[in-house]
Amino acid sequence: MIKELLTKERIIIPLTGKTKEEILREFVDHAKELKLIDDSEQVYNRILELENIGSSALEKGIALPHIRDNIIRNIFVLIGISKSGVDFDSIDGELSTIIFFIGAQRNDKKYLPLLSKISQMCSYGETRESLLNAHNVDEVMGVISNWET
Amino acid sequence: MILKGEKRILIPIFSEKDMLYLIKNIEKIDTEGKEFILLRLIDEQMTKNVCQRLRRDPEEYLSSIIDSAWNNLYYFQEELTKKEIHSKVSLKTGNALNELIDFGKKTKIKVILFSRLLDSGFEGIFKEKLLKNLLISWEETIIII
Repeated sequence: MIKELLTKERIIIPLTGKTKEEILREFVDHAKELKLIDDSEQVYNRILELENIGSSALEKGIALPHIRDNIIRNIFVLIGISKSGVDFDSIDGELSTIIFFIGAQRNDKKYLPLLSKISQMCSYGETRESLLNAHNVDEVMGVISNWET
Repeated sequence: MILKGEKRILIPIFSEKDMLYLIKNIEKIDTEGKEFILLRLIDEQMTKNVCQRLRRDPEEYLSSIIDSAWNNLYYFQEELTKKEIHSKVSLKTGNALNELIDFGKKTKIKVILFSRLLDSGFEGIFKEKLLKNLLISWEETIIII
């Protein structure tokens, strides 16, 4: 499921932002470049608003900022790796290093299952380590592909 | 109900019904300025027992439970976000009581909020037992809505 939505262009290694806001901006700009969204300002403001109400950070360095709104055209996922980590206000206080940015239309039926699959995948220490140690987009694709098969 | 001082509240969730009940009833307490940690607990022993009864493969069954549990958690968070209620999500598998207590201690949470919903069957019995044990082991506040 994750693999189906992922292309090499949708992987950012490394993320360069140092704050949550900078990381979200990086993802939104990338999504705009890939023509996944139309109005980057609108998406950025909405995702930031959502993030400030319900933090998308899980434990162990994972964050999944996500937006289900009709300002999104079609479901997509972007993956970014931040080597130094960014504060997404996680429950365990760890900085987020592996970040998935997910967008979908309001009634998209794949949205919750996609979030669920990513959360499950990232609950495995081995997967997290492999993603974090990936040097290039091919290695990231490989980790996800292996997990899904 | 007004909870003064305590900003973070831990909500253990045991089933989809539990979650739906909580979505409906969470505003019985004052949510202003609070952050709710939604913790879905999956007890491995109970899952094994259910598998034995249903004659299902434990690994496959656990995987399907985890999948739908994450779905539910994100749905719950989305519903709270609509009400502008702050939340975070987490899921733990293992011994549910130990996981709950460990989680509460590690995150320094002082208040646990339970739904009063008791399902019939396995899940209801399990939750009742866990709550009784929690009352003995947990020294901080427990509230039930």
